[in-house]
Amino acid sequence: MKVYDLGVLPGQYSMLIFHALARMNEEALVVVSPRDPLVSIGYFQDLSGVDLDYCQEHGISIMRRELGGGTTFLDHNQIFYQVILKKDNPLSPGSIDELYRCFSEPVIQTYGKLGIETKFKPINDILTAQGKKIAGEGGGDIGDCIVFVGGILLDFDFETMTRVLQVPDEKFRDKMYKTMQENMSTVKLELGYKPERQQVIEYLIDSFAEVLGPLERADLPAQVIELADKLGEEFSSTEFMNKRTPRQKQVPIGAGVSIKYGSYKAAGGLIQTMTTIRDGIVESLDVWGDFSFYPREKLPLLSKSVAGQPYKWDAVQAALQEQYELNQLEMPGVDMNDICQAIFQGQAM
Amino acid sequence: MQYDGYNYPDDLYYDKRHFWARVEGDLVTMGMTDYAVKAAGDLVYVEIIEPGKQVSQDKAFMSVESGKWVGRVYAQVSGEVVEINEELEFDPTLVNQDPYGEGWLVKIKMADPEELNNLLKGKDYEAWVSKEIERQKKLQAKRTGGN
Repeated sequence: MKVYDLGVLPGQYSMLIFHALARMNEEALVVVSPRDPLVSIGYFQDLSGVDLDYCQEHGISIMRRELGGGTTFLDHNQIFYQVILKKDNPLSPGSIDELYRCFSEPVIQTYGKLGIETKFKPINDILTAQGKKIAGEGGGDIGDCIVFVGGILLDFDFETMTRVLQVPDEKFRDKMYKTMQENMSTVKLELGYKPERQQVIEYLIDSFAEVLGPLERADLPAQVIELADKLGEEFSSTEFMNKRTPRQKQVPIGAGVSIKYGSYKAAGGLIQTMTTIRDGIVESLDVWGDFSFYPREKLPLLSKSVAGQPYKWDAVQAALQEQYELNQLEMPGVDMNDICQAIFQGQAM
Repeated sequence: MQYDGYNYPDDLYYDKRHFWARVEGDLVTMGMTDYAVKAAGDLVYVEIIEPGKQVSQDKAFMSVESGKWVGRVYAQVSGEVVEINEELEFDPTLVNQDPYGEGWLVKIKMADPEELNNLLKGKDYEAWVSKEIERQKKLQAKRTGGN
């Protein structure tokens, strides 16, 4: 199989080349970093989740990929590995679980060679010994190929990542920034320095060769670049960028953690919520809005009551209701179902 | 029929990409098989396409996502999509919970009933899928260094 060690490419090419190879049914390992900062949104992500004005002002281009996962901020501090395999290749894993397990192994080995102990966490996370996410992975079927992609985080610009996302208010942005810092790590954070880029690439290629078999270094054929150019236009088109997406407002952080913003207009006023969910369990809940609440100082009790509950309507509603009755709270025109409406907005009850 | 813990209702048609079809007159309801949903894991998104879309047999026409992986859905027959299971926009895991019932994906008005001959049913499907599952198990054992 061929390996294309592409170094640093202008913005979108770092994401376009693998799309082109897959459409051409060409198996390969691609290793690449974007020269310019770029926002890549997942196939199912809504463009409204991106702060378009901020991106334009700061020269950050935006593209939708044909793969899964959330909105990501990419820059030269990430080294991307992209595996393109035909579906009928015996190396192509049969299930999503096996696929991530199999292709995360070379990445874990690479981190190991750098002196960072990591482990695989199903479905698709690579965590440090302290349980922080250190690689983001995703993929999908493109044409008759499967495409697995991920990135080694040499360093990560947490601040710009939180800036490029459209958030309801600064409170949410602060929460997201803190949650990312608490749950993500990078090579630089682990080692205290950034290792030499080409060394990391060599480790990656050697480790992937153990799974994929011998890898032959090659120059990218001109046809691949031509197709990448065409796809660049297609993926940046208004139609594709604004495609209809499911109604969910959730920011996945990784390592099983996501933050969900919700709002609901109840008879007694607007309720806003921010819920941090870890592995399906509510870790924390913030509730605010313009509704009346007595006694005001007891509002945090509602939030505390749901921590540790499964992220399920019945469980959350019961926990809220218990605190409400126990503390004789008063919320004119707002009941616990209204708060659940905000928490579970866009999700089935 | 049951094979290796996977359930396959006898009255359905199946393709070799692990999708099923229920035929009622010229209306074909389709979805993912028990095997397909277990391989995918919990679905987090199902693409809600617009009714009226023309689809071709064995061609991808919509997508689903599980575990940050986008999988494609292939049409069982050619024709026009007349209904989409909109419940899946709010709860895509219905596909995991009830793949042959509430987790159906779309309904297609079939253009050519002759195309059903390209699908498998009953004993023919049983013969193919049992062989396919065993083949996949052997490949997985080889990839993971097992027997």
